[in-house]
Amino acid sequence: MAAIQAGAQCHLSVSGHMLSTGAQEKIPGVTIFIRETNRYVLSDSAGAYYVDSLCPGAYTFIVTAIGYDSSTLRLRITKTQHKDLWLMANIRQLQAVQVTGEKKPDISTVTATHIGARQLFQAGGQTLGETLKSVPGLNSIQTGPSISKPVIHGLHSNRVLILNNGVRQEGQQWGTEHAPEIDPFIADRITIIKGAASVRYGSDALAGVLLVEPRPLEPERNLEGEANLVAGSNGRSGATSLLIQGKGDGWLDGFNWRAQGTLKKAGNFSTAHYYLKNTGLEEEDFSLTANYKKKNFGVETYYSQFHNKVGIFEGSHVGNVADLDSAFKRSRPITPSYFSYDIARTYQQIVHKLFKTTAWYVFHNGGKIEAQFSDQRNKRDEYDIDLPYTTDPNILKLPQISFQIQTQTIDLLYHTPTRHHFTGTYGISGETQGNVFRGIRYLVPNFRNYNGGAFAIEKWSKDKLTLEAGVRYDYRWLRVYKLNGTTLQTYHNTSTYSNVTGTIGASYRVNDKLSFTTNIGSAWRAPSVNELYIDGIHLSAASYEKGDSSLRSERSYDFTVSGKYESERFFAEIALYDNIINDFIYARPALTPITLISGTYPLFNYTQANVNLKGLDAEMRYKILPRLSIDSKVSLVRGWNKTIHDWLIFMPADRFDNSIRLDLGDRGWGATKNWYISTGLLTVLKQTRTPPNSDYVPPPDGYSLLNANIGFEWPGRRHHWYFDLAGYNITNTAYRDYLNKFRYYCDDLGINVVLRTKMSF
Amino acid sequence: MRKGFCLTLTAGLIMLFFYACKKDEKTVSPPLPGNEFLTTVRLVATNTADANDVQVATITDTTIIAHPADSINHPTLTLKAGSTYNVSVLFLDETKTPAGNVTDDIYDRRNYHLLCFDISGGATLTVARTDLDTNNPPLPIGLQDKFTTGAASTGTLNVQLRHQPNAKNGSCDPGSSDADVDFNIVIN
Repeated sequence: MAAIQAGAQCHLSVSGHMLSTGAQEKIPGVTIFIRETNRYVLSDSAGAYYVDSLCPGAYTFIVTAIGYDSSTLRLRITKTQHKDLWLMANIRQLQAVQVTGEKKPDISTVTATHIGARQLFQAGGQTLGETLKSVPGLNSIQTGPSISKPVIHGLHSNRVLILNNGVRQEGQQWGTEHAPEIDPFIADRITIIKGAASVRYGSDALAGVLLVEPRPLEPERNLEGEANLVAGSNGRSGATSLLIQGKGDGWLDGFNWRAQGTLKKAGNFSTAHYYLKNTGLEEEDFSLTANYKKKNFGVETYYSQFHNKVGIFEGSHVGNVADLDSAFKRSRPITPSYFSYDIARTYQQIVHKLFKTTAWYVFHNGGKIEAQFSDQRNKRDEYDIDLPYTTDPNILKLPQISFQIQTQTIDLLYHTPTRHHFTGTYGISGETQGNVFRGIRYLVPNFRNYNGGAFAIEKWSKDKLTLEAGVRYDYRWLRVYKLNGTTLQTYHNTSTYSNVTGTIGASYRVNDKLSFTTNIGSAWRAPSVNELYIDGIHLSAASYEKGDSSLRSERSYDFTVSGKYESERFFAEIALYDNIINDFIYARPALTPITLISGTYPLFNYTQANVNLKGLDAEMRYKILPRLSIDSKVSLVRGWNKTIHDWLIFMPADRFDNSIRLDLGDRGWGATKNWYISTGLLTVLKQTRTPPNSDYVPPPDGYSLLNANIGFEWPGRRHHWYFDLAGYNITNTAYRDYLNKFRYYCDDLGINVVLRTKMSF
Repeated sequence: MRKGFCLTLTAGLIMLFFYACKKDEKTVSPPLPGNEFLTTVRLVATNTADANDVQVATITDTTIIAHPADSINHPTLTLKAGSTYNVSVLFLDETKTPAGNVTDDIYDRRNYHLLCFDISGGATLTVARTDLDTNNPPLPIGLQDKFTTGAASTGTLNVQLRHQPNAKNGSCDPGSSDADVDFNIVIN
């Protein structure tokens, strides 16, 4: 083959076959991502691949295929060439979470969606909850502009499990105003498992699991990195994140390291017509990772710290229902505001530290064992605007509420090699947790918690069909320490919970384009300590909540069916689910209010009922023209309380997200590439399905928001730049969202223009 | 390298055991000694024409003090018709003996507090605040008031302690309610 003239022209190509090591079979459907040109190429049904339009130079090929270990190759292209690429069959193809950074789900028949690096870049600077809203079936429950928690299929808080780099995130996640203490910049990918998945992940996975996964630490060069810079107009916010990593060579071969840090700051955010007083935030995070990897074993240690201080909108501070009522009736908050970065009381200050260490070993038979230890310390201080009645200056400085929770976990996993089409994953896990409450305002008691669990998942996979089944047993021991008000003696109550959960599922690939999956999963959750023992006013919600120490575990049975069609021009995915939750714990409004010295409050008692959540998530993408595509997403949820024959409160309203995108490719100026322009209309309907007498004000009207993006890349010899300019709520529409707890007091955010840049080097 | 793996595992188990033995949660911190609860609101009305005519009415939060004695839970204020009274509004912490004085803490932060009075149900009563804070210009507080009664009647007097940090402007609207109680008024 004649070599094509090298130079500025980019006419070189590489072609060959994808082969599996050992079996030497040709593998169809392998994805090759060429990092420098940001292109994806797929191997055809005969396993052949072809990459054209390459310039002379070095390229990074990232090769991924289902059932195979992904690999990264550096190729120096000087001429058009033939090169066969080899992939190693992945014996761990069911694994999701991990320990080693493996990325295939342990339960493969549940609906899972991935948010990749590109989408994460376009959401840079946002909270974790906001980042996920682009996925059908996901929402966020908010407390003002800076506190946002992910909602999966209508459920949130301790019904959604978050695994931060393979470790169950443990803080005070029961509170709707307690956002996950995770820096989204650490993630290279977020996997959303929609459905009950306790079998693999333990308790709390009633609605789903979020896997926040950093990029596996396997640097290609001795020193490389990535820098992010985000600036937003609303709140005059800024975020910067830097990641550097490298690998050792010589006698340090196999040793890799990474350091990452993020700084974030925002001032008072503004709605369409006014500023929100005291809504600034400050955040400082860092993480360090080091690993040592050889062919059949590895160890990795990870340490991260998360610090933030979040102002709580001043107008949301209400003494009682009369205050809330008058705040709601005002067209704008009574105290005018202006822009400021100052954060005054009321604010939250959170520190979250995570240490984990993992080790894995691959046996000669291909089986793999993994062990993980983690230690988390979470401190949450909440400072109220209402100072305590005291003249003691030391007490005046204290937070009204202070929690400190420490959690240690240990996990042991064994992945069997594939034998006669069977693959298995077995695991045991243990956890211990201690919570210390210090505060002026009593909220929840101290406790100690031990959890133990064991599970087994078997998968059978042949040709087009995959069958899977799993079972798990969990035991939980909880001891609560309280103080007798008159004798000042500590006493304790102990409860235990044990649960068996299971999963069974199947998936069938009709052909390369069409596949169907169905799964029945179960999950459980023990009542959280607030549901058991809370007794007091919930500030900013103007309600009085009373726990019930006799509550039992919640159990869910989740049925999901999904179908997916994927071709060059057309993509469609539709998922239907029916989640039956028995003994669902919720705060039921009492008929008589409670009168305190500070006024009259509606009383909510924690109780249990059998409920049902069903819904539909759908997405359709169609390329009208080679460069023009439309994308439509629909999320519908219906929550029904079967015990009292009524709707469930705070269910996400119907949501439709339609966008149109123009890919201009490399037609921009100079060396820039991959230009795109997209615009979208997000429509959220009014929630009309709400139980009576459970809320202070009716749900807000539906709304539509216009958003737009423009972006491009600028690959250089040493650097690769990414730019994205986004406009949110471009028409500056004043609106309120049903799932934003501050809809009683103020509008949601007005226009926001955000510039995001990323540079990899 | 199986050895290294086992070593990590053993180290993990030891660390878990070590941590599991630290039990900070067993020490439940008692209420802070200097901190006071607002449990009780009291009106003390002294007839301007007769210093011996002192009328008292008190309301106590029954969620903090389950069965308060009548001396701290007697919500009816009986006043003479056609009279004026100097009234002090007192805020107390009755969880302590003697009762904690919350009024002084409120007075210390008087620039952030305002008492609001609302008469309903037909009581012929007017309330005027007589004390001032140190805002510029000074604004009323309401811990000291003048009550003027008309003809014999009955009704309800709502007393609110409004907490208005950096927002006090003389009106009751800003801020939030720290106390919101209803006294029965009997004028005869």
